[in-house]
Amino acid sequence: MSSARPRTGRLAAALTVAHLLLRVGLGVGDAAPDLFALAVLFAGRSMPMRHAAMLGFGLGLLQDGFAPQAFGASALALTLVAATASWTRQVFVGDSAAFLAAYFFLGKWALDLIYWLAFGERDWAAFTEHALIAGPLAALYAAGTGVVLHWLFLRSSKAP
Amino acid sequence: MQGQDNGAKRIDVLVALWLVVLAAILMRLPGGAQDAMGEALRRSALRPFVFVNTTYAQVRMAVRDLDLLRARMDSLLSRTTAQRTLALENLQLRGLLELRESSPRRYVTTPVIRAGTTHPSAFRVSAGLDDGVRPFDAVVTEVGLLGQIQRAGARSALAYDWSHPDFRVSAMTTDGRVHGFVMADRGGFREQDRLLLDGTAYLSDLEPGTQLVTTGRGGTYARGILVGWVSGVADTRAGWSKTYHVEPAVQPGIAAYAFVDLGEPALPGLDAPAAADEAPPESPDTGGAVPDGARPPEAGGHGAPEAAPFEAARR
Repeated sequence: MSSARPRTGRLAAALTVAHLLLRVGLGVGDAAPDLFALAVLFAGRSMPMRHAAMLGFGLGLLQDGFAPQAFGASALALTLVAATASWTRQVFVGDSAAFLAAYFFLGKWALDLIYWLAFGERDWAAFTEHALIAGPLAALYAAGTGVVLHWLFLRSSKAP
Repeated sequence: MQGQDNGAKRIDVLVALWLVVLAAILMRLPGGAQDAMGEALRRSALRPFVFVNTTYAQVRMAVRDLDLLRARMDSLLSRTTAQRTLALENLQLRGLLELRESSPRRYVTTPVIRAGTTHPSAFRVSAGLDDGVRPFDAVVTEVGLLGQIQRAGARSALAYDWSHPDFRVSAMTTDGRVHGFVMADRGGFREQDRLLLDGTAYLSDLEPGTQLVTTGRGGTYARGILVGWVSGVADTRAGWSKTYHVEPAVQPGIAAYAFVDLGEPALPGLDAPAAADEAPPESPDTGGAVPDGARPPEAGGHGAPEAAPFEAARR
């Protein structure tokens, strides 16, 4: 795990920059996967809970810089997801594609749900659409990207 | 060893909980404090990415849309050429009637930034108080009304597009015959969002395709901005009023570049009589100066800097 940690850290840093470049710099929006979510989900698997929570909080604050109506909601959601991700490494062990896909899918979906609940959106039609249609699709997109990234950058790090 | 592990785990959980509480506190901060923190983030850690966004939008406008811009320029050129006689005629008539030149509205161009998981109707513009942008200024594109500024920071501002539940605009048909209020009608999916024209007379009979423009009432939106086209009757209140579905002129999702309407410069000649009506009688102590509290509001609710360009234009 110790050899995997620097690589995971570098991957998380690269995902953070890529997320900001794609979503803010180039303005592609949801056409790009949620790389912040993937960054905390990757980092959460190789960090103590407090470090993961700090990372989630920091990334959430950056996201909140563009979320005027719900300042703090992203920080809350990413902190919770990062802390939970760190907790899961003690409970679930594995790096198979199926496990990782489920992990990324549930992590991203939970992130969106927490965000919307924290946001306090009163438009329940929009919430339902987001939670049941857009949310799972975005989670599927993030899960696919996460599995590919793990396969590309972290697969060999688990070798003895 | 077990005790150390337990202690570390407890610290982990406490730190995570503390951060969650901190995030919850951030959510409950007053809007002004949240804006200040957001602005600080955008001017520090996020600045390079905002810069990339602005540059990218400008380059995209300059390169990709060159053909489109050329076509629009040709179209405008032919229209202005055709209307040159009309403009001359207008000028002569104004001279005969001793009418003052109408002051031109001022606009600031800006890229539209939609980033992260923000409210689906919210977007940011890269122009703020420093550029003359104020809350409630209209945001328009070359085809029509996109939305309205809500909060303005020094270098950027938050705006809502027409799909926001609080959006309202006073609208009328181009012949001024039918008036009403236009509001958002959100669909189950964002693609189904459209507008509603409410409060029109029961006997009004608008054909599908009828153009709706802003009335200019209230001074927030300039008169004549295209809002959309009537697409059909949505509801009738027997003997009372009719509501129409309206197809919006601007689709928010594809608006990458917009103009913020800064309004017309203040007209001292027109505002002065109102001030004179409200101002207290001249006193020897003030030498006839009008106290601050008695000054009339500037046009569009904007501050004193508005007067400077007007003075320059007059000169």
